[in-house]
Amino acid sequence: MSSAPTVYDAVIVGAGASGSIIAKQLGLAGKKVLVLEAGAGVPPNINAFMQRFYTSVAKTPESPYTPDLFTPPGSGDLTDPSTLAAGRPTVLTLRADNWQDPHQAYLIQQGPKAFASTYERVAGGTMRHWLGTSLRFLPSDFEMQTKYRQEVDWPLSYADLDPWYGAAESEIGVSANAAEQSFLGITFPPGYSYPMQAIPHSLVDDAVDAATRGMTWEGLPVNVTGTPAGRNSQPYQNRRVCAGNTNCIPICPIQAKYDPSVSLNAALDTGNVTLWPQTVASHVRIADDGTVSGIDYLQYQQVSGPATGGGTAVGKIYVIAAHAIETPRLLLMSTNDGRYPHGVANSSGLVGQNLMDHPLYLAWALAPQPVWPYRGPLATAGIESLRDGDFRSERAAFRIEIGNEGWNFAIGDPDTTTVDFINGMNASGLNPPPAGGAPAALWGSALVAALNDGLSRQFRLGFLVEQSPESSNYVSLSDELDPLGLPRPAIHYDLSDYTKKGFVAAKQVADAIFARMGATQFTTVPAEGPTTFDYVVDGQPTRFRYFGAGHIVGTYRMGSEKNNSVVDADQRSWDHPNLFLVGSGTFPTVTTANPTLTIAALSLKTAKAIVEQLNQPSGGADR
Amino acid sequence: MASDSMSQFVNLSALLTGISADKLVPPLSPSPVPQLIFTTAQQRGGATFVTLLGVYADAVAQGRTDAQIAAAVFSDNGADVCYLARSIMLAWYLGSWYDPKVLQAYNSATPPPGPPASTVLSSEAYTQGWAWNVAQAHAMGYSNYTFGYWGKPPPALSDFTGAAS
Repeated sequence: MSSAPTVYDAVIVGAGASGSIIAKQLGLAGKKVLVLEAGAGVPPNINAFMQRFYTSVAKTPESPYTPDLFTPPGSGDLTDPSTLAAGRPTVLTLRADNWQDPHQAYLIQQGPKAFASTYERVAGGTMRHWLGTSLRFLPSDFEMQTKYRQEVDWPLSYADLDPWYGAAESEIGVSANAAEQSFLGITFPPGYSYPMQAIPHSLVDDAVDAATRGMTWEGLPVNVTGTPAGRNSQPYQNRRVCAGNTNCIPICPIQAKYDPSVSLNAALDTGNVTLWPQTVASHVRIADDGTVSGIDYLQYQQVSGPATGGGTAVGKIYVIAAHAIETPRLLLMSTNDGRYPHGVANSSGLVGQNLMDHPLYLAWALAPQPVWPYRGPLATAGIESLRDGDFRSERAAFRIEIGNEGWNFAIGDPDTTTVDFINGMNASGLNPPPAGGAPAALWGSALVAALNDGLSRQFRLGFLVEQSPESSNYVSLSDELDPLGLPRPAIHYDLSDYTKKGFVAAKQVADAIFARMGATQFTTVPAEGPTTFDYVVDGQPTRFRYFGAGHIVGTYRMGSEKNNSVVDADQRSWDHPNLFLVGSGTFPTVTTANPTLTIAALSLKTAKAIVEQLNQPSGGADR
Repeated sequence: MASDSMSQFVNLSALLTGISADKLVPPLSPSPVPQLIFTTAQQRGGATFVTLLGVYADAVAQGRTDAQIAAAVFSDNGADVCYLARSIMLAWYLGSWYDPKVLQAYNSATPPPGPPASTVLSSEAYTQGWAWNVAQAHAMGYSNYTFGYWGKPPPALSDFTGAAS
């Protein structure tokens, strides 16, 4: 299949959110598209994903997907990533004893701190394990430099993106209420309504809402609002209504949550789109005139490689949609026999730089009364009202996600607490030993009562802290090679003072909300490690732990000029007019909301630009 | 498997877990999980499993109270019997097998980082784990409820666990 000399209208690298949405739009426009996917293709159903999830000891965001995290599958032994043709990171390799072990961790982490987010290399991409949060960015998010003298401005405004947000909400199928989402400058066209009604709040949401009524923080109201969700509140796109499986991450068992396989299958159904799975793009070829002339690829049959075939995919337009780590990796690998020693699309020198995430501050507590967690979607509401204000000239902003999954994210419950009560331990903090004694080991009705009391009152707050773009946080090529002979990505990462100040505020807000609720806090911080940092709060050294939010952003930023960015506002390379780099790697800033809706909006905007470019007499090579 | 062994096993499990026997093994239920837990405990426990059921049978025959039976299981017949019983309880609650020796090694007030090693017995064992029911919820990734249920309180605990609780 791979030796066909076909010239496609577009060659897309990556079948995740951006690649799938663009492929669908181009296919609908009658354009011939080839999609190269590094990992497995689209399975006929998700049964194998579910089986892998159910039987996985560690039910991490990566657990349902391939290649298997464990060898043998079902064991606790991590697969050596150096043996995988298309490896991927996992949150299980963020421990002090394995985060820098290339036989445990796929990313070659150079520190000083660990990059804590992970991604998938499989058809459907990382968004297979997204939460579904479909917030719009704030107008202020696009002009941080202008308004607050921090970070950088985007080359487009909220108003520019507004129609594309609407289109993205339709493509994904977002459930929300426009009036409720009209905060902090967010506006909608007159008469606009989301595709589906809002998802009901959980009882956890109601408890936080009741306690925070009238609360302010630094002069701002603390308001609980429903979270726009890419999950169905009514039948949509031939998919079912959410049944509250409490499992959006890592996988919705009934596909009530949108994932990019929906758009990908629609793309394939146009008859104009071809998907090649297990096909790893390895080099972007540049012709003498500066246009891209082809993308070399390697194919493999076994997940451990080696390459069993290869070739060059040729199109008029090229789209690299391999997110903010694998995209710069491919660009940096593409030296074109030394003609581009710093890689393709990199005249600015910015490719790979400004890697960002929403480092997440997690705080957990017991409510005074049952709030009935482990029910409903993982999150149904949050606090968005603290995302913007003058404080952004001094410290990072955040949004607050209210979790419906008890302490599952926090400590792996219900397992941890159950083991505590049955085996006489206290890892959860819920089974403290009496003075001079050991924690109780319970049985019978006392066990049921203790577990019920603890589990039914658990809840957590997640603070998605805005990380500032820093050139010292970057993706580069390591000396470690995968079985295809390609260098694995190296990561340099830390948190800035601006970001750390956001963590301090997050902790203070969490403490204040818990106090208003009468909740007992159980947040713990581990010993110093790859995802901790120390900061002085009120004169006291305080240790913080951050988690990854899965929001991998910033390594080929868009901008207003060639010298300050890698792509323009259409996500087109400044250097190569028939090359588009898409996905959250183009975000100049990580902003205060989850990235997926904006990824989708920008993908739709780019798809229009590509179709227009293809329809020009030159057929794509010229703008 | 002798059916009286299975019956003893279920009754012992009900006493230890606090879940009524007819909830653990509903009449006419097609669930393979009870048999899986029994077989796993029997195979992994070996002679200790026979001892455990014997301890239980003797205590019942002697008309002991539940507390006395629990003491016989957890205190009076050695660590092997105690920790096998805890492994069986965790299998019912979490659908995973925690080796008794691992539980014994982790039995401290200040456990080392990370959970004790375990393996998931089966998809059904996970989704039917009793911890979820005791939380008056459902396994993450396995809901039989309908849209919007999360906005209302759950059914009573006794509806989940039966009379024994």
